[in-house]
Amino acid sequence: MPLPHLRSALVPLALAALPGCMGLATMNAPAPAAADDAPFPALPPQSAPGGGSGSSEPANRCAAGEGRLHLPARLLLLTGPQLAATSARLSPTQPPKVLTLTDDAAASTAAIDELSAQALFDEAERLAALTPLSACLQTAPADDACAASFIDDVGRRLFRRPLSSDERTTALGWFRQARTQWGTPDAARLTVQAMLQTPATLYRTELGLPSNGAATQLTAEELASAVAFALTDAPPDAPLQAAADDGTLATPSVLRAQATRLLATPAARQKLRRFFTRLLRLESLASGELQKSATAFPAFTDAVRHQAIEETLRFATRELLDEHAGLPELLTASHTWLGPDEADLARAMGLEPPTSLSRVSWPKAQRHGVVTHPSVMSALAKPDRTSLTLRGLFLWEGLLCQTVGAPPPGAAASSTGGTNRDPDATTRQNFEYFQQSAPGCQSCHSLFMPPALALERWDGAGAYRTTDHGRPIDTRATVRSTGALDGEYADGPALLDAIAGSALARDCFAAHLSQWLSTHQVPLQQAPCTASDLAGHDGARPMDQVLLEALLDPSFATREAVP
Amino acid sequence: MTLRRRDVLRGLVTAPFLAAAARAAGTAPAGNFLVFFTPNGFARSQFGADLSNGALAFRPSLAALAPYASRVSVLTGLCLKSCDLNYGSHENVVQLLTCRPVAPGTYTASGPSIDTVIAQRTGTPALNLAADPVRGDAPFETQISYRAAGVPSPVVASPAQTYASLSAELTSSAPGALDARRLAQRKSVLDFVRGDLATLKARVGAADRQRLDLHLAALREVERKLDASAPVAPSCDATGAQAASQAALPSEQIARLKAAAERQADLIALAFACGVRRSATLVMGAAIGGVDPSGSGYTHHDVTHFCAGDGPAGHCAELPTRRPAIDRWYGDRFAYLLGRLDALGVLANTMVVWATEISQEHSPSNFTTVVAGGNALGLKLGQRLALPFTGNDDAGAGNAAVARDSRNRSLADLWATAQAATGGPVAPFGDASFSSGPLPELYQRP
Repeated sequence: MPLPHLRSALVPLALAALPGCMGLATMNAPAPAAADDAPFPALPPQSAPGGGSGSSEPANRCAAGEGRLHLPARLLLLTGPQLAATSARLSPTQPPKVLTLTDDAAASTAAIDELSAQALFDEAERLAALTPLSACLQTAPADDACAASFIDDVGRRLFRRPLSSDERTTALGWFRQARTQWGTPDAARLTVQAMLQTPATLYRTELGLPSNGAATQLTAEELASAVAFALTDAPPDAPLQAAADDGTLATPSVLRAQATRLLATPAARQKLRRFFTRLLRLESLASGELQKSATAFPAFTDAVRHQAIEETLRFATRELLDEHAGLPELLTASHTWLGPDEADLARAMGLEPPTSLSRVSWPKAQRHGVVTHPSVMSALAKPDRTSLTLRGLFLWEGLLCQTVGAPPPGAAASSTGGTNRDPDATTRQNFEYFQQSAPGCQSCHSLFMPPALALERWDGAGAYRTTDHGRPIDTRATVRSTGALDGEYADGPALLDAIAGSALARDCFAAHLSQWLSTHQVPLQQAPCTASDLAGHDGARPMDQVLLEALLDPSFATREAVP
Repeated sequence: MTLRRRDVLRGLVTAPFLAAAARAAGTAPAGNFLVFFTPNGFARSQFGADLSNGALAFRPSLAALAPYASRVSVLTGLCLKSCDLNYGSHENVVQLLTCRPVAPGTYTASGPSIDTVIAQRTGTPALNLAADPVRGDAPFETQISYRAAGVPSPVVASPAQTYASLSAELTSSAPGALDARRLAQRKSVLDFVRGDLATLKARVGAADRQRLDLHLAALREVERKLDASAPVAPSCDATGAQAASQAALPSEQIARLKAAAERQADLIALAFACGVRRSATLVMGAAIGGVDPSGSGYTHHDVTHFCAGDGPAGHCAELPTRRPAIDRWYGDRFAYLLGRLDALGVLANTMVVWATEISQEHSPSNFTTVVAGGNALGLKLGQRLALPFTGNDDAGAGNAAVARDSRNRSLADLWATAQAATGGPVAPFGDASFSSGPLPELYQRP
């Protein structure tokens, strides 16, 4: 089924709710880069005129059978780490290089360019020379049975599935020809070299079973790969492969059991750290691209930066995997986990460095959930000051999945707008100046910047503060055009409490998880029923269960058939 | 005597001989083309050159170019006429080398850039490099090169990766250097992969077929490199290039930028000298997010706003020294680049242009442009060329009217000059509305 008719119905509503805010551009065309690129695609608001997404009722849409996620049949290019994990199955003692091919978000759209093709070619040649050959291939001439067995084995490891009869015939024919020209050992290594670069290795398919209808189901092997790469960034392990082979994987109880098992692996924890890195927009801080001014923030050393990121990622993954917490706990918790390796951070936060990994409470009222962690607050800030734009966009897009159009052409020239000539102006004063001096920007900025005023208690390096340029901080903030969350909030904790308890944030988080696991870019407001179902309608579903529901949802294994 | 193209490219023949030979043959000598891009314009009072007793006298920011005074021309007056009211600022980056207006809301180019056009004509890929791995907040900050409308050229920011992309051609350039058996095996592997790609194409939808077509095109490029072979010339000596390009870069940001810039410059010169590339771009920094190499701790862009209402407060007094310091730092890198080209014997047949996206204060008018090298190609060097300019060049973003004033000269004509000087047609470049052909003040075909 093509995209639900809901999409066309939502667009005018979105535009009505955000006059001049370019919602249509986000829906219909790739968005030009915003001031800071949204890690996840912004979702159009659910709001109806005069009301917001929190007040809309998905039940009506669900009753009509619409509003669910439909993904097309597609090819996904493996990321560098995924390909390395796959190639490692050939010879675990010879670690493959991790090449730069694509990232998760672009896996279904990226193509191999000449640089990647050359790197793949060189690496395949290197790995092929290191791959152990069975005895029957080391002396000429090998018989066809030996060659076929070898080809089946290599194919199974690299393709994550058995070879089709056509593939086997083609590879064996090619092997014979190479054997005639160059002898058995060279032919065997060249076969490995070729299979390492063939599309069955480099891409995973989600084409499904042959179908005469509009939809198709992923094959068992495709489903196993989808689950394995989604959770662990590696090809299916033996138990998962076995479930695919015996035809039971599509059974919900088996799929749940396999996913639950994989979630307990270190690889899954590592992958979830990447999810939270992206969700919390920590990438530029982690990579060092965002550097803090040593003049403005002398205490924010490299050690503190690394430890703050580690602390946040450990907290978030523990909450999801070990504490089985829900989104509200993630967004409002007054505790974290610190170990002896975070001594610099602990001291900077006014805490005694623990001697072992310990659950610790933040100093009273100074932190309120993951958004207020030092890493997140410094990532959502400029090198030398806070940023209402970065923080506001995070709240608006990242937590609430509300849309913001691309900045208009020419906006970059005034991207430092909002700073007036008074060097002692507070952030709020700068914002008021910006409102007056740049009225053309306000159709969008007046939506997402005001909520961020609630977070002014945390400076540009994430430290708690009570004054801004020597003046008391006014943390009152206004939210509008969301519906249920609209209103005045006294400070960050009050705002975060409200967000944590909202269906809007709950559905948004589920949408992010679904996008992450399925590596799709479909705005989930085009599939609100899927989002709501994954999130759970009562607000009590733990995050790990939301994740499992996303894997078990029919959308995960159903694709629109290739015409 | 037979004039071999590869010898010409490698600088094995002298510039006068090259020009004479070309004249005798009635053709344009084949040349190389290189754009050195730095963002945010220049502090023009300290940048550029004046004439002193008929010779170029460089202003302080270009002091490092003194040894090359006879091989440099400094132009003023060119305008980026393709910019319009909506794209008159740092967004000029995307049209700087295309000189075609950008479709509103796209932030991407409307046609191929000059480096691509030259590369395609000469049958070698363009070498598109960056010195700063920080790509900025948006593509328009650094992406000057485009393969076609909406198709940005891949840019390599790591010298090690640059070397990797060239290594096959640099190290296997002699016939027979690559064992014939090995070559046949490698080509056979590529055939196998291509066959599988063709099979898969039949099973997927239209969008995925396009992706697989690009993959196939990439494999053709791998094969082309395998086929590339040529005798190794003295100026084409890749010994040590691998180790030099792969050595660890300094961790400190500015030292890293300097080292990366110089290593990329080394590889560009080597690629030109070996005849494996004819066209290149080197992007030194991002328009908004790029580092200030003079060490203020702010971005280069922030420094240019030190005295503006939207810049970091309290630094206005630093502006008169800070901006020239940035330009001077880049000038030193530019001089290094010229030195490497000269050392490998290819400066005379390489047209090098130092370009930026705004002349000053977001204006697209009256650029100061440094052109170096290429005297064997017909470029007139050692000049201060003050092209006629009418209007206010300090009018801020989007001043298309001044740029498009018919009395003002077009930056597109500089690229038309490059097109002609590197052996291409004597013809306009980019949007036909904004180009009339090569600049006669700068170029005369030998």
